[in-house]
Amino acid sequence: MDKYTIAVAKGDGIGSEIMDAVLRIFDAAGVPLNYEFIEMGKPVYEAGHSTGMTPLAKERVEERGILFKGPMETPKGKGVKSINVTARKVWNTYANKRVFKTLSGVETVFSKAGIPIDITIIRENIEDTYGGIEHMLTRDVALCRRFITRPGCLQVHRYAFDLARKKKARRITCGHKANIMKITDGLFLETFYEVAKDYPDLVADDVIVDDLCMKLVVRPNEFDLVVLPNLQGDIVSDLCAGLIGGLGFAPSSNIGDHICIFEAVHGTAPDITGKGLANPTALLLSGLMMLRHLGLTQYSATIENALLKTLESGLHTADFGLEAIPASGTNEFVNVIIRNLGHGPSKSKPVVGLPDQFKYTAPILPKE
Amino acid sequence: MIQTASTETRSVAGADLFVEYDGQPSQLADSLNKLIDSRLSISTISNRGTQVWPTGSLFTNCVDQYRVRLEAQNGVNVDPADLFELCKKINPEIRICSIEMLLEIDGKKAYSLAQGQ
Repeated sequence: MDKYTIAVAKGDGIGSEIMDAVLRIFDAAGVPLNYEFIEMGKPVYEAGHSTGMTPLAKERVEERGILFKGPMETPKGKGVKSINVTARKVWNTYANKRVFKTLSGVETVFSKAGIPIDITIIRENIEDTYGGIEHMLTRDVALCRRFITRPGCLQVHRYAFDLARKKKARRITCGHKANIMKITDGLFLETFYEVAKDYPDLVADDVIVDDLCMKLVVRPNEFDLVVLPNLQGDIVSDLCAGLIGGLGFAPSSNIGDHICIFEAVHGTAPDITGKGLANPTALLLSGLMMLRHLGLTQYSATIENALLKTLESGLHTADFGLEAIPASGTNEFVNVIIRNLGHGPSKSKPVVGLPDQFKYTAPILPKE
Repeated sequence: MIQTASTETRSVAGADLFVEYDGQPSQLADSLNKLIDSRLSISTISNRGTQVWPTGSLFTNCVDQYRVRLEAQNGVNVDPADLFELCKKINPEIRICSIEMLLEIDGKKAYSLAQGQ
């Protein structure tokens, strides 16, 4: 198979350590990808690019169609915009897909209670208050505009329903606050049921976002796939990350029609940068989402099984795991995952990958 | 009235016009530039908060409402009356949905950049 080339931005802080770790695992598993490293993030801001990416980096991503990125830092107090948000918006990755699954070896209150969690959150990724259109109106009054559009809603709902059908979801739920914001959230909810009509085979319902949060922390296994507006989706997805052990175990992908971004959504952890302590799991899981997106499902399954075996053995980095077992550094953690390639977990079901079928083509530049 | 005491100085640096438009950003800029006199210029056009003009990505999806940011040349203060006169000229050709003034408070911008600006 010819190797496809994707764009990789290692990120700031622990970014390069965890990206190197993940790519080392990919190489050991023989993942048929080439990597073109591009410049984004803190050093780019510091060099005077207010967008956080160089024109060349932008060109490369648009050429490759896939960006795999580590965490990035946005300088505070300089009025510049978050590179993470800019990347999602500029390339119209309208759906943020995040999967939260119980991992054996990562202890949480739910794992102790024997309650398995498997929730997918689809967050609208372009609109809402994330337009970042803010003005002071008087010396005392600030305003942030909140855009919700019909085409934007339809785009994310169709993606969510397609995914629900593909993964045979028990239920697809729309989270919203349409009882208060009747026009904006009302439009999000109205379009949800509009799209639902085309998927009569799926159970579609809605829940007000505050009620959703309460239910998620009480009985998380009631939910399967939840679709939310941008800001509410941001908050609820971190809540779900908390249910399965934190952002260190929560992969994230940003899906658009032309360009997709796979990233870890945790911070850059400047306090442990360069110490070889960082946990690469979230970035690795995001990378596995990318492999599945590219149709490299066998490779993804092989690596995921090795990760599951490693986690259930109790091996852990300093940010999680049993205190009785001494924490490993990033390198040792990765070495064991590599050693476990070809093996699977015994306490949980091994992942079965469908036959590989590479199915990606570079984006075709829209004419207008 | 609940109000905080303040000693700041403020001025108007321009305005954001939110307009209904279903063409391309460059066509919008061209149409507006014919109506705008030399005291103001378009600094950015964005769609759903993401800059699409003067630079942008062809991959950004646009809806039928743009934000056009008009700013004074060389940091000159803008007279709101001039802005309203301009809006009177623009509206028959390109419908204005809403207007937001751009304030500078104590010499600092009291409004945000567009995503990608």
